Amino acid sequence: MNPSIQAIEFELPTGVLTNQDLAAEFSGWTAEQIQSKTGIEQRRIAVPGEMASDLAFRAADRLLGRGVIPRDDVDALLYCTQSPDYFLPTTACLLQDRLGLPTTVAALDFNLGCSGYVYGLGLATGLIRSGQARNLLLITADTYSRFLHPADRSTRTIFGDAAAATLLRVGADEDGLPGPFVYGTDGRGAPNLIVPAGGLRQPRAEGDGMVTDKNGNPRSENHLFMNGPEIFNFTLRVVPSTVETLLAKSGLRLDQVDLFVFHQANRFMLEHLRKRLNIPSEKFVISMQDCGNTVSSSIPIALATAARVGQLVRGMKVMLLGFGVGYSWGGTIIRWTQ
Amino acid sequence: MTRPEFHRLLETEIGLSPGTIQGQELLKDIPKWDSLAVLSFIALVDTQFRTQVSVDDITACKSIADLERLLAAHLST
Repeated sequence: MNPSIQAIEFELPTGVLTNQDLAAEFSGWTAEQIQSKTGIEQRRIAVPGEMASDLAFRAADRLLGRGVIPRDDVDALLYCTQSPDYFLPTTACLLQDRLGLPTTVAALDFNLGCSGYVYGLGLATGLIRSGQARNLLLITADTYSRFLHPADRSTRTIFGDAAAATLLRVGADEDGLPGPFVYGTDGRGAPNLIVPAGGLRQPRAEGDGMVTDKNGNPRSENHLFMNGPEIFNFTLRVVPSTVETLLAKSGLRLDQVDLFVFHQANRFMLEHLRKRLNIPSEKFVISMQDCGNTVSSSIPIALATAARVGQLVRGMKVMLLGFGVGYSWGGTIIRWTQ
Repeated sequence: MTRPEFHRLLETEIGLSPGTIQGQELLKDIPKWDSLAVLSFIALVDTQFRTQVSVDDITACKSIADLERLLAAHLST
């Protein structure tokens, strides 16, 4: 039994943060410079009281409203988020109720960021191939904006909030796709993309004061810290080798992959990887200008957008690669059947 | 790669006019040497030499000469 992606819907919040807004807040950067370096023109930001699960609900509700399958046929819900409603209960349980899914559904959260969609596809593939599920909803959602310090321009220029819902069902094609899956983890990278305080390891700090560390980076224990250069080095270490491993395991040559959809981190990094890997620009999706880096939703949003504009068409073999916070990374190859 | 060739590549990567870098400069005196320039330097090293330089080592550099010392194995005199 082979899973295939039947539908993707994504949801962006109504709040908008433009490059003009950022240039007005932070001296020394123009809107044009921000766009040039990041490839982002605007980020969508959750409004007060709007949770990642609200975005997730709207994306999934709209997908199910298309009538691809009856809600009662959904038998598994995987929710990837680093912005849960509560420490407990599981946010996927709340989504089961809101979406009106049957109580026979298996529902769970998993905590991953940039690699989350690929891991989700892997989990979904395992559940479907083992016969434990036939109609699976994979939802990714985050509101990283809630973790960002207002004075940290390095993160505020990059991250946007979003959710994406993907329906996977047992498909007709028996070509071994999605797959193979290549995963990786290196916890030494944890300090380079982290919200230090607010969990159980380190309680939330009093006040939101920002200090400058020895490397000149602004730091606030209650907010997201991102060491951009370290993360860039990490991607250069793992992405080319992961692509090579995926190709070797799948028996494909690079030119036999029709489209490459990597985690939409920022345009500078993606363009460098594209050139490094000798991937033609027409086969390489860069699609973050209207929403920023949406963490685990970046790949499904890029897929849906590429399909909408005709860059992704039925029958294409697509390499997906997610990499980032953790450090965690994963890659796979899918066939687009829509 | 010669040192002048490295200077020209670095100028191109971080958006400086050719000839801005001569080799004796302190990084703090180079216009546009900022966090984005560090990313550009990492990209340059990866493209030209297929290697990575540690961020701590880059941060410890105070001058163009320090950057050149990081790449000593790849630069000819």
